[in-house]
Amino acid sequence: MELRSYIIRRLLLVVPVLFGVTIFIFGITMLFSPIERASLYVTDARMMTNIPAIIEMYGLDQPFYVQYGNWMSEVLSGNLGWSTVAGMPVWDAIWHFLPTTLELAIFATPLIILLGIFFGTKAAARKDRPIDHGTRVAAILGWSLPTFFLGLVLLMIFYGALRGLLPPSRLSIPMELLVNSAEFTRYTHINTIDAILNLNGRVLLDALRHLILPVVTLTVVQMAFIMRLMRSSMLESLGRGYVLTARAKGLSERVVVNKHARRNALIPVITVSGYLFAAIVNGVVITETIFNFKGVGWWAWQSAVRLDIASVLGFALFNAVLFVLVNLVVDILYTRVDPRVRLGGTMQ
Amino acid sequence: MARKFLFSSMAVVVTLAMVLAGCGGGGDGGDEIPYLNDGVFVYETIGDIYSFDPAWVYDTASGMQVGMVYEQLIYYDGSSTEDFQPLLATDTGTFNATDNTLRFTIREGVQFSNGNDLTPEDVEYTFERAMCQDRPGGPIWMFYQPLLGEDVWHYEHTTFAAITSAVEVDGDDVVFTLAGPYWETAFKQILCGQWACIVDKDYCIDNGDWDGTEGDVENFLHPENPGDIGHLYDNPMGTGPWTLNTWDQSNQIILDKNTNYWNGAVPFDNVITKVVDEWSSRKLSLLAGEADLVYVPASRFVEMEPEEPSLQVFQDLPSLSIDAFFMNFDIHNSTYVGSGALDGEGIPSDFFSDIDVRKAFCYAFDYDTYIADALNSQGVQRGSPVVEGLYGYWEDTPMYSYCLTEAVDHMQAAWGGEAWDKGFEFTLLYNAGNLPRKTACELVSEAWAKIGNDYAGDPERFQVNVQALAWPTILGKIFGTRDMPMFQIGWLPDYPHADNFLNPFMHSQGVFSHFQGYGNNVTDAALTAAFQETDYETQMGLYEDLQQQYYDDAPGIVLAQPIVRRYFTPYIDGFYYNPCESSYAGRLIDMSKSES
Repeated sequence: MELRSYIIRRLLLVVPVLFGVTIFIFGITMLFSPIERASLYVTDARMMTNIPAIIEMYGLDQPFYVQYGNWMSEVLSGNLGWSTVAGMPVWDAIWHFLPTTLELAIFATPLIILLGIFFGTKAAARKDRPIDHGTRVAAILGWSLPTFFLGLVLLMIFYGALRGLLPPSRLSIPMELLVNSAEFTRYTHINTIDAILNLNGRVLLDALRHLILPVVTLTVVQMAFIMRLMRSSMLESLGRGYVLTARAKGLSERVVVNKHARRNALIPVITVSGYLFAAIVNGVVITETIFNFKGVGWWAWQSAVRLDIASVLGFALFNAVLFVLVNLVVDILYTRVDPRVRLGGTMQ
Repeated sequence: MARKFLFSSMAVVVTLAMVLAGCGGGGDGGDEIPYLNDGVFVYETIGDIYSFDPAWVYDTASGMQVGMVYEQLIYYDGSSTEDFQPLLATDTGTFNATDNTLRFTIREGVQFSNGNDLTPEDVEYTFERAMCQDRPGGPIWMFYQPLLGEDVWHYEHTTFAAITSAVEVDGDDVVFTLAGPYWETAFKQILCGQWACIVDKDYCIDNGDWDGTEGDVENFLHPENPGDIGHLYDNPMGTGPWTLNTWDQSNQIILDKNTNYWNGAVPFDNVITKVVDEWSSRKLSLLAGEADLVYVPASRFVEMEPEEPSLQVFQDLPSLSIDAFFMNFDIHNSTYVGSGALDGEGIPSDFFSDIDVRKAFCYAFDYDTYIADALNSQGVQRGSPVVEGLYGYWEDTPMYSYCLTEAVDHMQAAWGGEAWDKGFEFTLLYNAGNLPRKTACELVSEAWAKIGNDYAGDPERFQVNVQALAWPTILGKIFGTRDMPMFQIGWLPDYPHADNFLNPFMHSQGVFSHFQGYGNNVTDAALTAAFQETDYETQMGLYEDLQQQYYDDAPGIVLAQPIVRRYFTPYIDGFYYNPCESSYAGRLIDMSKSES
């Protein structure tokens, strides 16, 4: 199947996905009574005496299909509603929080994948040797450690005990003042990229310094899974006949492992890596909260806790689009890694 | 075998290292905090603001920011909540008893940060604009009531002509016509609130805000969301010592020094407020010197004690708030009342309408344990809703004490003895995650279990079950379904006056008392009479009577007035506490930061 028509066909799948996700979430909100949903609009006790007026104003006692229809008509006209948590329209809130999460994802994802592939490969190639055992222990520790515990411990050591060596938040106070001054131009609101575009080394170094702890936290936890998956996949690949043939032909072990076996072992890792990136962009709530990197995950969590329904629905829409796109990219990557795989799901 | 032992040992050692590091705490109390960020005041807190529009803000977080960018006509004098000092006005107001007008002369030579001169027309526009905006649930009822009468709560209850007549320019003066002479003190307190900050009329109109005419009101009346009101939401323009540089929603607010400030030197080049939800991060920031002040909840005071030698701590600060149990006199269609009858398996819907039941519950509450456990001893028991620091506070207000024998006596007298003989069972609800309220509910439950066991010989005779629900659900039950036997909620001052606290607790249409079914015409008249009394001594006597009545009627269990603290680095000078100050940091314009 031609690539372009394949992409178009897959993108059209977004529509039923969005429809299904929003109906599901909307349906859950209907479990709350109109009075309970009206109370979400209250910021002061005096407003509580106006509950009936609030219910009427927002149509909270209308049938499900009426409320959903009203919301959908607003969405189709470009209005996703107001995010109480963010204090801005939902559409703006997504773009407000996304750069922070993207910055984490940009640095953490390659690190997780590359280190996971590297150590997984080593562990498989040297099965039952010290490096294999070492990576197993590291994987167990990394996977078992609760993110909040690891994050707080790192903060206490590197920010507390070492007196501010690696601080939380995205930038230090002097750099915050700098990036919000006329001397600095904001392009993407991703601090590292904007620093490069502004040719400002101080901001870049400061941003990188603040990224170390949250990226390490994410990497330690997530790398474990990639590492073990890569190991399993490599072991299977190394047991295949073509590897035996390659060795019989006199190829070096390094070429056998890196050129022949690893490429075939990458397919499941690619699948997981795609979802890993989507999961990080989706938002890593605990890491974002502990290190004060308020991204999409923090916003989604706050929206859920505070029953900011408009934000929850907006986040669901964002997620649905994200996962459809990630799935598409992963499927296209398959065809590059494995020439036997054709677009449309057929095998040659 | 050796290899397995080696790697198992590695795992144990690494885990131990993590645990020990995690238990290490934030530092050794007494370590010197580094002096950082010269000229910048950094405050870390939880929760973002809602808006920079003075007519919108009703919360303390927004009020703090608005109070740094804008200014009012007058403000509280130092730590007082009853004395005032002039700010944008040249005096604290001249009251004319013949026509109930309050006159302020507007200060000359004051500029907004954009260079526009402050004029009396700006003051007039500020109040008219607020009353023509009247956002739902907003603070502007505090303009309507003093200026247009106690029956006016919203724009629909009055007319545009009445609004414009209530605030007039007379030369260099602005004249407010009050609904009655008794409003003078309360209205001055209202003028100290962030909602009374003065905006730049020309700036507003030039940027698409209300143009001052009746025809344009409909375009701005009752905005639903903060962003609906337009420019002032995130583009403030005030006369205050700082201007807005950046509002990065949910992250931080950066204020710059106002180079046009009229009232002397501005002590900080920048004020940065950072929203940091994680307590550990805030604590570490304070100890690392990155923040000059952080929000410390009462539950963390004990944890901060080892760090106090390094910090500047201000303690025993009484906050103007009160939490209470409200007994529901008429429980609607409830699943929390057991059988719904006085048969030992439940309670009837009017269970708390019996005075002896209410007094029994008041005596059965362990106030000292509540303050010690729920508030970490940071609280003082009060006998009525009027707390210390309010105009009209009566320091000799009687209070209930924890006395089980009294509780038994009253319950034995309740409902002709049936309540004691048959017992009762119902469920108490609290908002999930609120530990003080959970503690309060458990104290009620435990007390009645103890009474049943020690005095009735039947530990299951009096059962109070405790259940958590989400806060929106609790609110919906209190003000909607009204099916909770008792509910807990607290009150903060709009202005520091006894009337502002007694009304919600005692008036038949009060925010809380109405929904618990307490209040009557006689009490309503007494509240009005007390508020409208112009003789100070007589008025204080009337407020004493009302506080006595609250004790006698026992419609609820008044819990405690919280005591708060502030934790600064040693480099901040000039902090003083005013319980009505919306800024958690105090009046920053009167403070400074230096290394020495």
